[in-house]
Order: sequence, then structure tokens, then C-alpha cells
Amino acid sequence: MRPTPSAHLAEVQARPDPPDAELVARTLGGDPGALETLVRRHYRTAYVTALAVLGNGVDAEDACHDAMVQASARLEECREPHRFGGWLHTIVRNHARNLLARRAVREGPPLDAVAPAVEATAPRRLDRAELRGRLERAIAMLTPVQREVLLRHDLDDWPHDAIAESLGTSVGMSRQHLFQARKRLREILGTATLEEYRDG
Amino acid sequence: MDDRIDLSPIDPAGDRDRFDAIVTRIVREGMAARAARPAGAVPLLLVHRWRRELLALAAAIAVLAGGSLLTGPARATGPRSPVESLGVPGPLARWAEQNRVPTVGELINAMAAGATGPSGAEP
Repeated sequence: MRPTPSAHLAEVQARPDPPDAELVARTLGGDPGALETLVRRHYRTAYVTALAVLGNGVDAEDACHDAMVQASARLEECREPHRFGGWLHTIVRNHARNLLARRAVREGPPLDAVAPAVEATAPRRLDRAELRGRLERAIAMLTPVQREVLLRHDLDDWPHDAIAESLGTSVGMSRQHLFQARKRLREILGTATLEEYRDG
Repeated sequence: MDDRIDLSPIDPAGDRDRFDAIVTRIVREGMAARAARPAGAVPLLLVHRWRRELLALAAAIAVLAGGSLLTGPARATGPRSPVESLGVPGPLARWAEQNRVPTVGELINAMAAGATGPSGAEP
């Protein structure tokens, strides 16, 4: 049974052993190991947030890096250390939006043109870097809300009620966006690419 | 049935070595940024962190102070005659205005009142 949004977010924000509040306190005391645990714990969610805004893996990594370094430097400003995840999420989203405003998002060649070629030349196996590139470019072609729902659900394992709460929409709309995002992604990637990495 | 698409190729933690390098860099630069802050930054940040509470406290003090000013004991300031306005003590001014000589008892009362408070003895 899926947890409620609040329970899910609370779990994400205060995963035990050790809880975020303790790690924040230890980082404030100068413990780099505590900061490392915080970064490892929250990086994927931060990356998903940035990727949903920017639609580009390289830019998302840059935004995450800058936001996390800045958050480390300003950790005293985290008023509720047990909600470190939510605080970091806001900083990452702001960084990503600023980056989006400053840079033209780098775009690869349209995948509609790439996928048929792959089908024609299969069965050459795609390596992980190639798959990553194709997937990122395909995801960049989704709408921002489709990206966010798809990444939160299929990469960061958020339930629909938590996604809906985070986006300020209904569970039904979240399901609808996910359905549309998956359909569009399959169209962009093409059958051959999907089978390549399902088998690989 | 869950027809999710496998997004593991773009999982930032999927490539362990790469992820370790990303984390190490963030921690190194994050700790360096913390160490590089000027000495006065931490108290200022603490003030910034608690600014809403400090503002609320200041507002509460202002309200309490204003309330006590409004509701506190009023000062004994009756209407002052022109002679009193020149600095002459109240009883003396009133005897002068009435053009009469005080009795010994009135003088004693006036001096006693002058020693304990500003209200003075009535002539």
C-alpha cells in the first residue's frame, strides 16, 4: 500500500539512521562525513528536480552542484533541519530556473530522425552512455510537467499522491501526465531503442 | 500492470564511480565554502535565521510599552496658573493670587507636602 503524500515526504525528508537533523548539526560542527551522507541521500531527488526544469543532464548536474555547494555554505539558514530535503529542493529549483534563464538549453538532434535509423541498423547494442544521451534528449522533448511527473515517478519512486501534492494538482492529473509522458517517450525513442536497453 | 520506462541509464547514482566523484567534489567545495566565510558571517546568519522571531519580539515589546504608556498612572499635572508657570511653588502662587498671608499651620503643611511630593497643600 502506498504511503500518503505527507508520510512519503516525511520519510524522504527524515530518513532514519541518522536523521537529517543530526547530519545538519554535525555538518555545522565541521564534519565532512555528515555532509557527504546528506549529499548522497538527497542527490537523486535534487537531480530530478533540476532535470525536470532544465531538460538537460549536463545543466542539471551543474545546477545540483552549485545549489548543493551554496546550501552547504549557508546551512545555518536551514531553520528546520529535519526538513533539510525540502529546503534543499527549493534552492535547487531556484538554481535550475536561474540557469534556464541564463543559458539556452543545449539540444541534440531530433530523435524522431534518430530512432528509425536505429531500427534499420539493429541489432548493434547501445552502450550505456548512448542510451543515456538518447533518453535525456527524448525527455527534453516532453513538456516540463510531463518531465517532472515521469522523473519523479519512474526514477525517484514517488507515489502519485506525493507528486500531485508537490505540483499542486490532482492524483488523476498526475496519472494522466505520466501516461502521456510515457506514450510520447516511446514514440520518440522508437521500439528498437527501448528493446535494446530492456535486453541490455 | 506498471508499464514504466526504465530510466536507470539516467540515474545519477547508476554509475558508482562517477557518482562518487560528483559527491566528493560537492563535499570538498561545500566545506571549503563554509571555511571561507568571514568570521562575522555566522552571527549575522544567525540573526538572519531568527529575523522573524526577533521582529515579532520587538513588535511585542513595542505593543507592551505603548500599552503601559497609555494605561499607566497619569502625572499630577493640573492647570497651572501664570505664577506657577514662572516656577513659583503651587501653594505660594495660590496665596499670592488670593493676596493673603498663610497661617503657620498652612506653612507647615505646605513644607511637609513639598518634602514628599509635588501635589502640595491646598491653602
